[in-house]
Amino acid sequence: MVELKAKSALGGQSAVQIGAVRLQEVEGSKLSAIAPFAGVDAKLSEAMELAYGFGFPEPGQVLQKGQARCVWFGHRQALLIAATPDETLAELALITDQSDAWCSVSAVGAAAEDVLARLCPVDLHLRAFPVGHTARCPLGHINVSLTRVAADGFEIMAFRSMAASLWHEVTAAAELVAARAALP
Amino acid sequence: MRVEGKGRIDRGAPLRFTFDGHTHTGFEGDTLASALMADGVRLMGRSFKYHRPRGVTTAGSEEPNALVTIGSGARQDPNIRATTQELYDGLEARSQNRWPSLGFDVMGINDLAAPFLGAGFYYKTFMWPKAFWEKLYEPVIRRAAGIGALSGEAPGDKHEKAFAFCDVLVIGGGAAGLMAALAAARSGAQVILCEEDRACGGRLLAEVEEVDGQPGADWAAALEQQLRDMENVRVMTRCSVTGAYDQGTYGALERVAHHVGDPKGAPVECFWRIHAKRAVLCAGALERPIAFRDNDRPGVMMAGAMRAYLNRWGVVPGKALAVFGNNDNAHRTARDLQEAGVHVAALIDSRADAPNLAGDVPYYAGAQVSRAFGRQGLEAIQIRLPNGKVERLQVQGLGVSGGWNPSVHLSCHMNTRPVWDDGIAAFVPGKDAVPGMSVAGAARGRFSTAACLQDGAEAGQVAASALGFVAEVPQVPEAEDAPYRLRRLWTVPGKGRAWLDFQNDVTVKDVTQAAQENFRSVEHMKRYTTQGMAPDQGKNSNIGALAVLADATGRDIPETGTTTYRPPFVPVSIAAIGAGAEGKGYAPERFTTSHDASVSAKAPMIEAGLWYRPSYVPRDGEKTWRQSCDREVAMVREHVGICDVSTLGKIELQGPDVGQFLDFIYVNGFSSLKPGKVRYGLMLREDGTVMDDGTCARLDDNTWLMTTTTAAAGQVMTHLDWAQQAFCNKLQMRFVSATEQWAQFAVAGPKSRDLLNALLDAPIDDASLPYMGCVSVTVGGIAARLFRISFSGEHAYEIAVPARYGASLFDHLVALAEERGGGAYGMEALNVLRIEKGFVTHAEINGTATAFDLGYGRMISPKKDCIGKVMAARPGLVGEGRQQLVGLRPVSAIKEMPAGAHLFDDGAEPVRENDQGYVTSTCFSPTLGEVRALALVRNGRARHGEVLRLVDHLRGVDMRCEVTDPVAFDPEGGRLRG
Repeated sequence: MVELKAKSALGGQSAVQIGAVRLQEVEGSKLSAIAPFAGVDAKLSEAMELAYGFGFPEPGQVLQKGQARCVWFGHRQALLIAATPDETLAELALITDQSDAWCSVSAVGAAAEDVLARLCPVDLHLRAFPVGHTARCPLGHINVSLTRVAADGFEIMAFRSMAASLWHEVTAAAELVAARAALP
Repeated sequence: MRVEGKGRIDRGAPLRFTFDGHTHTGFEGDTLASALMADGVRLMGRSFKYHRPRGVTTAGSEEPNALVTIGSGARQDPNIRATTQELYDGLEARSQNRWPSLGFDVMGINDLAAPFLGAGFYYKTFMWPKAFWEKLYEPVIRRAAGIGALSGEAPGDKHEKAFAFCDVLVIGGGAAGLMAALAAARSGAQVILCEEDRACGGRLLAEVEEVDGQPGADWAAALEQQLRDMENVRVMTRCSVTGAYDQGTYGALERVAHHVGDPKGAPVECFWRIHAKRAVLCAGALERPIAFRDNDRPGVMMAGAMRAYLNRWGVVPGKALAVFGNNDNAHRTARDLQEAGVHVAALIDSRADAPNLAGDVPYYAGAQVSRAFGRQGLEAIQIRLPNGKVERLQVQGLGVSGGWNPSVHLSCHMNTRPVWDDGIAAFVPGKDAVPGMSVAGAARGRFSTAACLQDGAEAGQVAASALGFVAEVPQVPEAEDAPYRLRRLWTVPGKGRAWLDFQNDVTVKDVTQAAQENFRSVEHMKRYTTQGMAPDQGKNSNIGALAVLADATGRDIPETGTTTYRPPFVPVSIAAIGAGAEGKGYAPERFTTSHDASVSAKAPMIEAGLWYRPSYVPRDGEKTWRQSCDREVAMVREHVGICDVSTLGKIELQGPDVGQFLDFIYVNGFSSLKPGKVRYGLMLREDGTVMDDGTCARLDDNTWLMTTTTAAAGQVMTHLDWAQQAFCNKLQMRFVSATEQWAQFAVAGPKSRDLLNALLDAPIDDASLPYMGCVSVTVGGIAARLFRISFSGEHAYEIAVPARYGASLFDHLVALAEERGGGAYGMEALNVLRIEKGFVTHAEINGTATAFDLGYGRMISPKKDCIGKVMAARPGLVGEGRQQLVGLRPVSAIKEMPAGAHLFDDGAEPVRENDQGYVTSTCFSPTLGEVRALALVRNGRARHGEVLRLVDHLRGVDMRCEVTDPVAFDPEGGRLRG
């Protein structure tokens, strides 16, 4: 019997600290796309509440209970993270495994906001984009899902195939921000 | 020369720099212009057209003359204004547009030819012969006329783009801007204050005056610091707001590292896109010249600039200076010079009744400066006295003031015209010119410091209040409140050339000549004379020029109007606008999980949309791509080949109504498809032409998997979203892209099943997986999907695993294939295999082809409706007149049948009128041993066997070929099912 070896999107890229931001691949979470069928949005939200302790997120919203999270992901679409899809939901919504479809990178540190301001046309000020907020937006030319996970931390998700470009964009921006901070 | 005791420079911090190779020394706080002036350098550049010697004219970003090149090689930065270039140790600057040297410029001969080079001379002189323009005249003119140049190397410096957001954007950090920012900031609003200079203060940095009982510059510095200390304020210095755009978006150029010799990896510039809910424009005002004979001599400058050089940098352009103006403000220059101990030879005011406000200086009321002398530097001026007599006065510097023009530019960026204010003889911003933007201070003609402070404070309060913040007008400090009195004077009449536009060499005579030649509209005058078209965009010359035009055409100024103010307010380098898009930065790269393996195998990677796919996978001894391709085709036909097909779009659909939805999307029926089965489908655009094709599998009762072509994956997803939202929003079903979730590989060839049975945990056979079937399998315990489909015409499969296992599975598959005489194959072989089989791609589905054209007309089910069905049946979209898909094989000695070549009846002239169609795809088929092509040919299906003439006008091919069935290999499909 053959053995298949797993490889993450960034293939073991180690974390880097660039100036005041730390960039790291986030691996291993179970990801499921969830999208309600016609006219059952409220029912789905109730069923999710029973199954996970949170309903279906509003646009731009992240709901969380324990490790499990649900991130708004588009028009009547969300991404369940670190939660096993519940059988009871299948009659109400599309539920599809997306665990391998996305590359996830975290950007944490005092400069995280400044680095992302080089790439994303979104107001990321804590006041406008607090913890628990998410957006689908461009990062350079890459379409990403951007979520604030801490006062100084973000998680960026892009198509797995674009992992190298994503890493390049954020590290290059971080290097410019770090070098600028060192200017007289 | 330096003036002791003056200036806000750090005399304890000397900085060495070079200009045209000569070493100079300046101080921390200097600009290149002030440091050169301190060392007695007045000649800093050559003019654009006549190569006239020019010196510094202003003390800001509007500078038209002192443009220099900084650095060399990859870091060469041309057209830097010496007036904004901060001095640093080791700075290297060079003058521009001169040869061999700034002092002796051969092209200065142009100046002697000036009578022939006036307005419109290009248009009049270089008309004939026509061919000479592009080949001779234009290159010569471009060489002679010009400014700085790039090195031609890729930029050695980094650039950056960034986004910023705020409640209130304050544009300009002078007296008005500081107060506006303070008022808004105290309300708790998020405030961005952009200041072009290295520090806030605006004119306060250049004047001798007090604000709140302390020197104005100190007051500004303290307030700037106070703002910087506030959590909700971002003070961006060295940052020019360059444009006002829709919905509160502003462009801004930040000079991040132009003030250091080595940026050490930092961007030299950052182009900001600032989104502001409200903005306050506090851009101040620009002083305007008065035109008189030879008023462009180095040493002649704006009176306000001369004052700035004295007060801010402690420098003056010579020992004896004079000031000439038509307003009270000019008197301040004479006063400050005199008080600083500099010899003021004359203060000349064109107003006979104006009192002297400058103190003990020789005062000439009602007089005018009518001429400047000294070619490479001002030596003397000629004063015309009220009685008509003239006097000559030895001076090295002359400050000129024709009044001040409010910087209305940004207020005009959304097409509102400025309004003429007769009281100050200048344009002020139109009302509500830019939605959400107000204007305060000198930018709207409030010129005294006290008025600016008050106006700014109120504007800041209003802006914040409009957003719901509780804002108060802060207490406004005490400051100078002198009235601004002037009597307009645009030009001093007389012989010779009086300059309006220093940067583009336009004189009073040019403008009047334009009017005489009936270029009377200000827009026509501009284009005829090129006035206002240089990097300064007429900041110094526009109002003067249109005043001259108004006079020449007998109209008043408001009637004459202004030309259009467009972004950017200051020049923006393309490198800043395009930051991040260098190299491969213009688009992301998409890599398959087998990418590294393909690269290791030395496969040349080709782009397919954003994806990279192997073109072919060379083996030892293969010298050309054809050798590899032929071998790979044979490998698939005889053994087994492996190809990464993950780039094809995969869309997973779930719900009880998916079948109904697919019936509506595809031309053929899908609701009848049984679980475990795959069907080929064709979808149309609304207009009836073919959009895409692919297979769709029913994985189970509730779950379907559609595949699309690589190229159209995004388009199909958009199409499905549109179809669902517009027509099917009641259906119980949803879909999501699964392209990235699965790594999918084609396993094609007679030994494909044998290979799979060595891989899979449980074997398959014809019964468990017949042609066009799909099953769930496991590989090493990992759940996988297996489809029996073929794009090669061989017995073939596609196997999909979660992407994390893709790289590993690919290695296994290639190894198993190589054991069986096969291996990996690339796009070239894939293309040959499908052309041999007559399978279409987007070379045939080219946006004009219909299902009928491709021979799929009967796939359109008569039993149901689908998108594009009605339109596909329109007259003209079916029938003999259509170009239909056929195969081609060569019958002449020439075998080449290039894609893109056109087809004609045998013996017909190869001209457009005789066109019968064109070649869409072509290849050498190693299987058939000859070139084969697919083509779209008029009424082609009825012409199998006919010989056509094939002509490729581009590549010079002219040959004969026979029309065949598109399927050249295994037409019965026995190999597929076997």
